[in-house]
Amino acid sequence: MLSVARTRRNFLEYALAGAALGLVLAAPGLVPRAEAASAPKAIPAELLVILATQSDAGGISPELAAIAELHAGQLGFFHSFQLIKKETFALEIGGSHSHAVPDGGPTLDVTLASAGKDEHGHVHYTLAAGLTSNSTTSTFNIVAGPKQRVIIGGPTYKSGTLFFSLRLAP
Amino acid sequence: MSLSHETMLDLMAYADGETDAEVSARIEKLLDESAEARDVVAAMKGPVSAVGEHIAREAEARSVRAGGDSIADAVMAKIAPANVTSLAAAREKRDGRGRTALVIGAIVAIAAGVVIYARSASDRAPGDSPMASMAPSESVPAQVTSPPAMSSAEPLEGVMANAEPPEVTIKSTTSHDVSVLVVPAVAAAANANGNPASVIVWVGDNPGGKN
Repeated sequence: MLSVARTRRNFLEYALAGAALGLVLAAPGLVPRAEAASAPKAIPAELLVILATQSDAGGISPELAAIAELHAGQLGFFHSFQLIKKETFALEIGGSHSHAVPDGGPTLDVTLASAGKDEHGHVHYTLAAGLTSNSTTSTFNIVAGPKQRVIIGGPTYKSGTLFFSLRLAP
Repeated sequence: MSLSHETMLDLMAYADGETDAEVSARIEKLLDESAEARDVVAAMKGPVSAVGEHIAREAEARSVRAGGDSIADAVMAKIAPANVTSLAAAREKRDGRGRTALVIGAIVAIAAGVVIYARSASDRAPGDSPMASMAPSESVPAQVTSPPAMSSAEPLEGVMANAEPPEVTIKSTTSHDVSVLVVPAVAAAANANGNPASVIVWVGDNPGGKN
């Protein structure tokens, strides 16, 4: 019985030693969580509301000329990009910004769920259906870095297609 | 039997040589007169005494052969050495098991540390930056497969910041037509700062998706 008790005590000592060693080794992985307090509480953001059409009549708004993503690749079949609205605002962690497109268009809500000290942002996007019969509603989680452009589009609006462009730390 | 109980006791004591002079004289007188008394004394001194003496001699002989002077020594001498384990050897063996357990425990602890570190690192945003976050509000969404990259942009020389495209996860949609298009980082001639990687999420007006 004495040897059994001694063996159990030794096992407990080894287990405690192993757990302590595990914590020491895991500490580097846990430290960044503690540094989260140094991350910004808000990130500046820029929202563009764009109407794209296949007509050549409208041309491209000057503010959109430098956005290569609109003119090339899969969106290349649109010939006209008109800036409907431009907003700049500070997006706080846990805070939201909403933009409703007038005349029955969809609504985009963005919420900054978290932010890194280099202004990476984890943003919740909700594109709510407008008044058109075929409108849909979708929710996305997107993690993007500063100046990275996130373009969400597709809803039919008037004679064209709507796009929302959001950039953090533009 | 005509001898009394007391007489029998005296006869046994006489046979063992334990009687004093007075009793011895009385017993010897009785022995002269009684054949029964002589038979009792003869029986006491005969076979019984021979057996006792034999036992005594055998015990003495065994003790001498064993080289000891006590029963304990004789008993210990009879115990097979193979059945006895050295205390020092047992302690050494136990300590060996303890070291093995310590090594295994250390390996397990190291593995646990690596796993914890890896999991904590994977929780961080791209760019390995710490994140300040709000409380999580919803369950883990379904992950969207990677889309094909756009091909029309002409990449130029130079390494761009934020070359990794944004990470997109669809949480819910009522659209039947959702696509994620990755636009790689390019250094556009018209833009001195170039364009970091970006993403286009296409949500078609075609209901039929799942929440």
